Amino acid sequence: MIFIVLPAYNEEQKIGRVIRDLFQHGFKNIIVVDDGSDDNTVSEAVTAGAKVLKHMINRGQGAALQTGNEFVLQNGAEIVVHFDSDGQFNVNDINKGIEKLIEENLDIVFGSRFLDTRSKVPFFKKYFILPFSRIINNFITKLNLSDVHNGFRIMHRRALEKINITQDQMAHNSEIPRLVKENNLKYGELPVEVLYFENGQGVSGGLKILWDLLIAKIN
Amino acid sequence: MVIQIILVVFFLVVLFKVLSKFRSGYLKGKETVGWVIFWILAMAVVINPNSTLILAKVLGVGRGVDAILYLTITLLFFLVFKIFVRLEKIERQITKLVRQDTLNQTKKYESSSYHS
Ligand SMILES: Nc1nc2c(ncn2[C@@H]2O[C@H](COP(=O)(O)OP(=O)(O)O)[C@@H](O)[C@H]2O)c(=O)[nH]1
Ligand SMILES: [Mg+2]
Repeated sequence: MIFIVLPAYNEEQKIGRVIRDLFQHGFKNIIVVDDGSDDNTVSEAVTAGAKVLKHMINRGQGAALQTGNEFVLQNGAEIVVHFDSDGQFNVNDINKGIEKLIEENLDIVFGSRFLDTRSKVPFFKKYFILPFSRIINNFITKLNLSDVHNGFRIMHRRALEKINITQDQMAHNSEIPRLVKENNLKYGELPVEVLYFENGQGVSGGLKILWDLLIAKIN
Repeated sequence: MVIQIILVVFFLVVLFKVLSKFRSGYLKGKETVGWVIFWILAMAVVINPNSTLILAKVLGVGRGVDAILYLTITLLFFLVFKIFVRLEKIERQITKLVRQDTLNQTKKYESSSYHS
């Protein structure tokens, strides 16, 4: 069974369209993890036909993904797709990723914005934030990826059983590659398209991630 | 000196607070003893500043005030660090609770027959 897990926090404007798009492409098991949104994310997602899990209060994207992971594991998932609910990803990329996972017998496929030319990454992000983050990330995780902190990933059940996300906020994007390395999981990268209508996390977000990783080391 | 009176009164109030926190169960015995000693020492230093000279000698710094400054800053950093670690632990526990609550609410998944 293939599951799509969509972490969502205040995405009432966009989540309905993303879910309908997924259904139209033939995906059936769509799990939204609402993270204590203040808006109508839940009702939008329910109306669009998704199964909605609700965090009572906001715990962060990493926490929501782990909740989704545990839920789908309990319900017999063989393949799980992490996908953003803000419409930045292209649904057409999912099937390519699943094919890659199966054909190459991989445990996890990471989406990358830099393997083709579809993604028009904002200048500052592309040439300043991301190269810098990539160096740090590849150093921390010991995994060589062409992109960092891309929420698009496809995992086989084997990987899901090994990956326990403890980074509640955005730093799980560094934690997952680290766990892939530690557990000797087979990984690959898939060119994916990321659309930009806003800048997302920016520099302060990046610093927050570093901070979280540091604190985790201390603990 | 006025400052000495103000500080001593303030420390006494804090001391009283420590004891009442202990009585109502917010502070453990060990922590209470630590804080009581700390605030009594603080009072001793304020009442007789020269007492810090012994400390300065032991630490090898010139003035008693310097010795106190170094020690208190070190202590502050240590406490902030402890609080950080504790906070992180609490964060993780909260997430665990929230997740458990979420998963308890919806255990079973039935493939929806809904198609748009
Ligand atoms: N569950 C949950 N999801 C979040 C949170 N913050 C962001 N998201 C979701 O994660 C996805 C990506 O978030 P976004 O802020 O666009 O980050 P970026 O695109 O990676 O810069 C979207 O689907 C958001 O709804 C959060 O605190 N909790
Ligand atoms: Mg986004």
